[in-house]
Amino acid sequence: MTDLLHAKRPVYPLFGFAAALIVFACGLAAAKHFETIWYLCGVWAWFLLFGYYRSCLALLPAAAALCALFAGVTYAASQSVEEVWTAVRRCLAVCLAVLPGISLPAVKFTRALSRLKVPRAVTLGMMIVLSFAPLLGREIKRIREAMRTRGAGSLLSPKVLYRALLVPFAARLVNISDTLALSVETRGFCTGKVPYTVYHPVKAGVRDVIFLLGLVAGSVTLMVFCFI
Amino acid sequence: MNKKNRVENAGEEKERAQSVEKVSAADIDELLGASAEESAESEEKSEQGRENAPKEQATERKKSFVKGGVRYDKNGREALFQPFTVKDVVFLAVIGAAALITSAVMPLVAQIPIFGLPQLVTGLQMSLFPTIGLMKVRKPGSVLLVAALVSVLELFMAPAMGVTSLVSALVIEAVNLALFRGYKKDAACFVSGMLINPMTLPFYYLYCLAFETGSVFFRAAGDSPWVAVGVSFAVLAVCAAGAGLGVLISREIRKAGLMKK
Repeated sequence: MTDLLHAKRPVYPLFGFAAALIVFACGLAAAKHFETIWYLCGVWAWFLLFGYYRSCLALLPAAAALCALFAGVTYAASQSVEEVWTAVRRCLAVCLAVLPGISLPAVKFTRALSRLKVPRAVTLGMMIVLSFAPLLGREIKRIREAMRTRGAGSLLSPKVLYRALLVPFAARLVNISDTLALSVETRGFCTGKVPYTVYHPVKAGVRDVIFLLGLVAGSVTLMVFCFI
Repeated sequence: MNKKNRVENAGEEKERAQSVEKVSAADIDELLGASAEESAESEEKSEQGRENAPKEQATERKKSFVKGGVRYDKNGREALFQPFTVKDVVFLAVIGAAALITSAVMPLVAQIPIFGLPQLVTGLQMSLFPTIGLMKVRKPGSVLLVAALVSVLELFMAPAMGVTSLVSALVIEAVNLALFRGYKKDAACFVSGMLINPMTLPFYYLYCLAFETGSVFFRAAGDSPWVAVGVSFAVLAVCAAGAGLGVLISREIRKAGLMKK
């Protein structure tokens, strides 16, 4: 969701969305089979080939850490090595499914949905949800700093949590949304049924179709190997 | 003379009545947001004959209008389903983002084979933030809008959660309309906010039953049903606490003058 991870030329957003669903569904469905690991490696390479190298590389340490955590928890719960490998493959499938989402600039997704005549309330809301993460992180940091300055005490105390964190945080959310709404309205956004222009329409090209077809072909091959 | 006067008076009265009718029709058209051309057309149509009159009346009856951001029904009363303004959408989106980001701990417990554990971990934030949103917006469909925004992102990460969030939001809206007819009362906001997370449990179970019988949670529910029941009650309790906190925080913010309509 941060700008650093965005791909320079991401695939058509809805194809990216479909890719996430396909990888997730196939990865989880075939997690018990050993062949799935080759499929997941192939998907990672496929993403890398289509310009997702930043998020692909950033994913490696995060996926390794998560896999280690899940493997530990699963081994503690089941005492079975086979279960551990299944958990690792599941974790990798989830990590890879997240990849198109974190590499996609919010505005491209919104433009693609706008072209499909999705209601303005949904596209506008989605753009805000996608681009709000860094802002929210900064706000929480500021509130924590204010708490430290005032010597508010530990967050483990329910009273401190409520009075010094939750109330100021909610107040900040209200303030931010008011300012954001005003800013959005002055730029001519409205939720009614009025015609609007998309200045940079996002269209699916041959490259996008090849990307999706390659992924579908890989997924079908995996399903054939594992279940037929 | 008297007869002449009477005829003249009658003519004046007729003219007045016609002018009053015209003015009221124009006013109604304005309220309905119809253009001047449309109103002229409608007048012409009304003169065409009585054959079409019942149909026109029927279409006129169906019309509702929006004035000052509030929708009124055919009788001029405030309608049940209000349109969402930009301010509402932005606030609900911000609230949805806050709920989603603070629920990022969910993947850490995703592989622990206890049914309902992810819902338990995210229960507080997933009920607190939407309740604050409902307390401010107070329009039917708010839960559905938040769920739609959140579930699209969830679909990227966990399709099962995305689907179940949407379905449970639909059910919550139906329950709210049946019990409270909107979010005017704080109790309505509390109940809907509290149900958002626990409602996903039965739907998630059904989803697993249909598509993911090998899922960790599905097997956990089958292996130890009493643990699943206990965790489900714990989820309900945590969500009730979250929704209660949401109502309290909203009241405080409103008292401070920050939460304006």
